[in-house]
Amino acid sequence: MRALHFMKIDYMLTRKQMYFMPAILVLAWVVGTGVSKGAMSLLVTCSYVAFVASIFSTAPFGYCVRKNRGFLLLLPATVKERVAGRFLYGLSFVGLLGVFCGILWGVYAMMGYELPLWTVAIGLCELAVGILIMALEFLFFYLFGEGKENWQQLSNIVRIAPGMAMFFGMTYFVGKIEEIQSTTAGGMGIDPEALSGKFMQVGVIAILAALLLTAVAAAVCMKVIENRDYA
Amino acid sequence: MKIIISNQSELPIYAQIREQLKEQILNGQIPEGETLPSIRQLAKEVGVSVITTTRAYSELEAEGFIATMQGKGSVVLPTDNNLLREQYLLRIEEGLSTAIETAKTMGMSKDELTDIFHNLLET
Amino acid sequence: MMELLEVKNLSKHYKNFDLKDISFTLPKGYIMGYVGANGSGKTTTLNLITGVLKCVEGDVRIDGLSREKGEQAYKEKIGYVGDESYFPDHFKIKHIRNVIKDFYPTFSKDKFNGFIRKWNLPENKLIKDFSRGMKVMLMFASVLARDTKLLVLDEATNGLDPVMRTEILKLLQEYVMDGERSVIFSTHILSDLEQIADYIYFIHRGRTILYDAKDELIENFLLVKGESAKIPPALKKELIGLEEKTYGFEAILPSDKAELLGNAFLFEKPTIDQIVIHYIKSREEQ
Repeated sequence: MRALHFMKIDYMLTRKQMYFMPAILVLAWVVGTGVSKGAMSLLVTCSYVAFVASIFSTAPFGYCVRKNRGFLLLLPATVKERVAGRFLYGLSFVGLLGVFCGILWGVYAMMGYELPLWTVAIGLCELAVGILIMALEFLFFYLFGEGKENWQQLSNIVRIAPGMAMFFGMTYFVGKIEEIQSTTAGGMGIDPEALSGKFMQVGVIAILAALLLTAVAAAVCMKVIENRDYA
Repeated sequence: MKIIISNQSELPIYAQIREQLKEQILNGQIPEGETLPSIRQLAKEVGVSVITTTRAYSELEAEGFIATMQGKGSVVLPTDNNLLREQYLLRIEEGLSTAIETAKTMGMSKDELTDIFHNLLET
Repeated sequence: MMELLEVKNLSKHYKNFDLKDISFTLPKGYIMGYVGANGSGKTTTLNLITGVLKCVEGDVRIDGLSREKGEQAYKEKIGYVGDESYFPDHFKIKHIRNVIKDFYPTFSKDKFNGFIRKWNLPENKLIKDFSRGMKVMLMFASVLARDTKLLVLDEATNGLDPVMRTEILKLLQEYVMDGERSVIFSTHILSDLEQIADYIYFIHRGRTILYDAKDELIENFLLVKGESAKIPPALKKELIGLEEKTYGFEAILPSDKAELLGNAFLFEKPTIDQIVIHYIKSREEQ
């Protein structure tokens, strides 16, 4: 329960970025449609959203420099609850953006676009990677930088680089997709449609694995922070 | 009832409180049977520590000016004449001793001193 | 259970600084001044008490409860006011109210709003735009609006105007009024706070120098002044923090050594500040 209260605090801390989040989501859609069409554009949009998620989910760390944190440290709760709250914030934030992608997907389906199941699976994998990047960033921030000032540049690289790599990787992949499709289909004689069921399993497993790794990361952070001063 | 604390005074704060309360009890400004404010109340009003006020009260109690009863607070006792007399006597002696002390330092003779004493009595 | 705060052999080691063997008790209903120069370890001690720093060596109990036994209950008993605002800069009063309401079951919204009105704290400003005085009063409001047992103040009245300082003194005395709750405050300047302190704990460079009831301390020492040339060796041994100036010396002397003074020196009741200054001087010389 108190972990949820800490999550709420993080949302209050970062309330400003929630105001311009809709604009960013619209931008993500514009970027997607600019690169490709239909299902492919959705994949680009989703990778952009995951990129955004990986950047903005770490925002609470920036608001928690030493002099601003006393109040939170004094609250009657354990370190575990505080760290859990931060991870819940990250997960729920990425989750919210994931829901946006889901809705977009639904809208496209209703508008009659052809959305092969394997693209949905790749979308899920993107979400999983988004969660994983978030968890790794949290791990990095907790282990090396929580509360430290004067490390803006490094922290910005950590916040931006992985998500950006994924976004450009995805854009590249979408550009090459037809080539890949023809080689896999033609060269190995595999029919992508027949494998759709398997693709979905891969997507779901990817998400579950990401959640599991996030839990492990959270546990590590709790252990480390419990033995640390001002934490 | 009034208490004024001076930081310049050589008397410790608890003694200032004790003396001022004593004075007011002796001259009747605080009548017998009156309940004094609680220690913590007085400490807050005067802006001094609880321990200081506690000490002032317990010394007043030891000297027979007040009695502290559980749950009722500290009540001013009747100042019987002997006690009153004793206190005044003490004060007269103190005053005279200071005068004698001063006279000794300047080497004044016993007669000269008694002369001053008698002269002052007449005025 | 008469003791509200028990600190036993508290130590903390840093690269350039050690806090060593801090021990004291503070009974229910009393106020302690935790005194020392800047960098003497006051904040470290108070942070160990509030649990912001991990207490590895030594033991702290509040109302009989140690932090290990119940972190939540332990922290609920404490109200802390720091020397600068510890609230997130970008919060407004409503956010703070919201968080406190979530975390502290004894929080009274009415009391809190009462303080906000009484002290004219702006509801719609970000805390970073508050004046220093407003920040301090907001900390007090957030702490006094709930049921605590121990107030911990770290240099909380620094840089406040005299009117506010007086207001805070009254608040502290009201706080201990029922005889169940206690206050520990740290400071490097005693002045007005000295008046209301029952106990004084004095540390220097992480070590205990003096710890006693304030009235005892003042009575146990004399401030001695006179001509340096006239100090006999027997007296010189006993003088603490002897400070020789062009036209005479000043030092502190334990009252029980007063017979060494004879008639050659002037002596008077010291203030706590004077005792502290001479003690620091004597430590520096060692």
